[in-house]
Amino acid sequence: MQILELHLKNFGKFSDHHIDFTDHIQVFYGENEYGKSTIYAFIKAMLFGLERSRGRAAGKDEFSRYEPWENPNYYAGMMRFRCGRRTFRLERTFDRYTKNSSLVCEDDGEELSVEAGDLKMLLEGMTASSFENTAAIGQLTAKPGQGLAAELKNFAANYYETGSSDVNLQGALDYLKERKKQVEREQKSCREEHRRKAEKLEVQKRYVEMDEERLKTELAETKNELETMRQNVGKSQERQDVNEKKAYTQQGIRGQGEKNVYAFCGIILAVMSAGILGYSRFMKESVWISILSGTFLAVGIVLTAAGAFLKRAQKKQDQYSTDFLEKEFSGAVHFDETDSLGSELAHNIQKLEWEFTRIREELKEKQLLKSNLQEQLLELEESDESVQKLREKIRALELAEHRMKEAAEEMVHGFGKRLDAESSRILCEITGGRYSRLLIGEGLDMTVLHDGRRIPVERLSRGTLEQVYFSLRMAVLLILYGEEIPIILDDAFVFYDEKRLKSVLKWLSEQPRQVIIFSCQTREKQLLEG
Amino acid sequence: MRFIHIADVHLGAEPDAGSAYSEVRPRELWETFGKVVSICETEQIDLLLIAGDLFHRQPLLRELKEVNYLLSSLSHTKVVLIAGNHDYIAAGSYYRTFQWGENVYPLFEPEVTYVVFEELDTAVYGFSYFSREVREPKYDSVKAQGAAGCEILLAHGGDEKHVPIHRSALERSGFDYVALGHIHRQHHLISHYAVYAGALEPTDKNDTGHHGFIQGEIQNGTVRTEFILMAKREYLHLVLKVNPEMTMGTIRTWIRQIIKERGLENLYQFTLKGFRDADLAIEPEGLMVSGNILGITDGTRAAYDMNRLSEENRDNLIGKYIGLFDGCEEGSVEEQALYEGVRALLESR
Repeated sequence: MQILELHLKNFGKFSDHHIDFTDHIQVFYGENEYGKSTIYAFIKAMLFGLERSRGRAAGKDEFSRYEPWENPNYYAGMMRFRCGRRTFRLERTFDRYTKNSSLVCEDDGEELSVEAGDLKMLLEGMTASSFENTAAIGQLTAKPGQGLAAELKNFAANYYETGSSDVNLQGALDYLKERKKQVEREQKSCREEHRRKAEKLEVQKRYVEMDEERLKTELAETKNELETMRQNVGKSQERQDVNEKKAYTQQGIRGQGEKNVYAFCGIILAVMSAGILGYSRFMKESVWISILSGTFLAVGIVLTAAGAFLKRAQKKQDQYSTDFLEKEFSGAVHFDETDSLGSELAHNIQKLEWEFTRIREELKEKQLLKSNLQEQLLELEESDESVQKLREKIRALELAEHRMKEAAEEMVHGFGKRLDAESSRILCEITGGRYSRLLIGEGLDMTVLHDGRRIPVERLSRGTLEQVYFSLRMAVLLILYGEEIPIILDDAFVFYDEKRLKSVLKWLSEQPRQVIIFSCQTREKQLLEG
Repeated sequence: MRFIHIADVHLGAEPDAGSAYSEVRPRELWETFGKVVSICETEQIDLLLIAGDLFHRQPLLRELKEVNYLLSSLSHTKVVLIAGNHDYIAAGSYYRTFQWGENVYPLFEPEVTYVVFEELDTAVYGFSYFSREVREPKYDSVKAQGAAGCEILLAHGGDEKHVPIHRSALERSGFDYVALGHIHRQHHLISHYAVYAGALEPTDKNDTGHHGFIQGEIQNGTVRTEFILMAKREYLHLVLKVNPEMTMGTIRTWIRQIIKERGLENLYQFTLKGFRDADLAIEPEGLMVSGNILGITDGTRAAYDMNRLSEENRDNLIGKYIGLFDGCEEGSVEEQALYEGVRALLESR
């Protein structure tokens, strides 16, 4: 591809400005403000269009920068170029209302379509950004705080591994690492949340367990108390039995009930009353005494009977208390309430039994609660989708890193090796064989071979660094786009001495591609003319 | 004979209900159950069928007392219940010893038994779970015995681990109605014949859709059922399709708007899909604008035109990288890796 003519109809500061490209190497000499960058931007805009940025960025984009100073609604240009022995005429209007383009082959009048990608085909698929990064060569500029050599290495490394100066493998890998850290932080907070929930449940469980322990102790205590009380019942029963035996030998009647002193009294009362009754009869005393002693006798008999009943009940209960440990007390034992002493004891026992049952029920409830909490804890571990999602994201990030390295390796093997060879060849030619090879080694360290000695690029002079940089860019262009795309050099040789400039211009003139040089010095022109 | 059929009440559960409602949610399960009981009373329903999982875990004694208190307040309604896989009758279960009110008829046997209500000319069949899992398809062999004019099967299960249920076997079983529980989504397994009441209240964040109970009537062998919406809240899973014009602010407003429209009482999970502006970083935390949002998942992709990027960068690492993911499936980890990697490469340019 060779640019033949530019017509800046209305573009930036230029209005109806024609530029003809007559030579193979075209040099534009101009001081600052001449409009070199405008011409460069025009070529780019003609080849790749001029898209408006959206939003805030629109204020600073190229569209605004080169919007015509006068009559901004007429924002247009024309370019003629030759490609594959055919001449084309490309016209574009850039302004926002009449944005349009036309591409016509001048030889046969064939109309082509920019939209359909015909121009792209002629440009061998080159895009605006790759054009800027390869075909347009400026000076090597160091980023703030970074040496030139480092910048060069960076550039080379990027190309070597990524095939493009603006794709930064290390930067991308760092970015992925940072993302991974971020996701891991999220994961951590997720786990933290999970842990908090579990902890809450654990605390609940601990409280329940404490209750459980307390209840167990209480239960054992109550049990002991009950047992003691029952033993006491048993002992007094024995004592009572001895008394009863005495009474039995005396009276022939069996006394009943341990604390049934009343029953015992009743018997005595009855015997005594009977005696008095007999005596009063014998003495023929008053009727009143007879009635009184008769009543005593009756009361005595009733009390004795009550005692007997109570004794039976007591026996039943004794039997019951022996199974006490194994079996629940279901149903209260009924005592004869006419016997107040017996009923008080019975009541105490019963109260204790109720207490025992209550504690046991509460204990069971707590144990149930504990196992329910346990279950809840287990379920908590099983279900957590968000953690799952994050885990997946981390897997994705790891895969991304892995594949990126893989792709970079392929780049090194394919593109990198060719870049190595091609740039070495160019460097050798433009330095007149002084530097025979450019080497990109392990860890992307760059060295040049000089008289069989390896010299790290850090030790090279500015001029030589610029030459290495030039070689690299030319090599990239050569590998990627063959020989069709013109090279635009924008003040690229400021740091070249006479000798270097001579050899590089010589090399350029031997290239089949069109060369456009913008310079604020007249050296290039003089050397080429001379 | 008029009946109400509920299932999966899960009393005692603590469902995730967002920061706003998680605290009150356990109580709400009780309230809704209480509401159903009072409907039984006011409408003088003949039969309340509880198809398992009345409790979320082993019932505590005080919980049983509470339920029994509610149920025994019914002046007319008879209650039949079975234990499901959640409240299965474990060794120490209070279900074994609890004394129910006289209108409550638990079918707490491991094999099918039935209870007959002479005055309703109705028999209800069923069995209870005695373990967490019952893999045997026990309902396949259950047949109506002709114990009454109207016969109902109360059943719980329907998946692999919880008594697999086969439609054809149920169809041949000879019942008038099969009241099903276990699956939380309300649906008819066999139209107006074998019906899942669904969970009375949604108890898990995946229990989306409407929840309530089945009200029905059986008259001369014909069954009519109707689903009654009852749940206080609903879980909604919504997908929001964003576009590259949207910012965090617009998405936030959008979410607020949706919640306002669909109900503040409901519980939300959002998934963001579609293409976002490549420069927009979506932080789900920043979108949790309301206490009834349980979660927001970012499934958006940066608005990268992969074909264009791949074409423009065919000679460099970006193109090569994209090429390595040729034919990856949508939504896969691979696709995620593709977008993450491209983003990393473009961001670090």
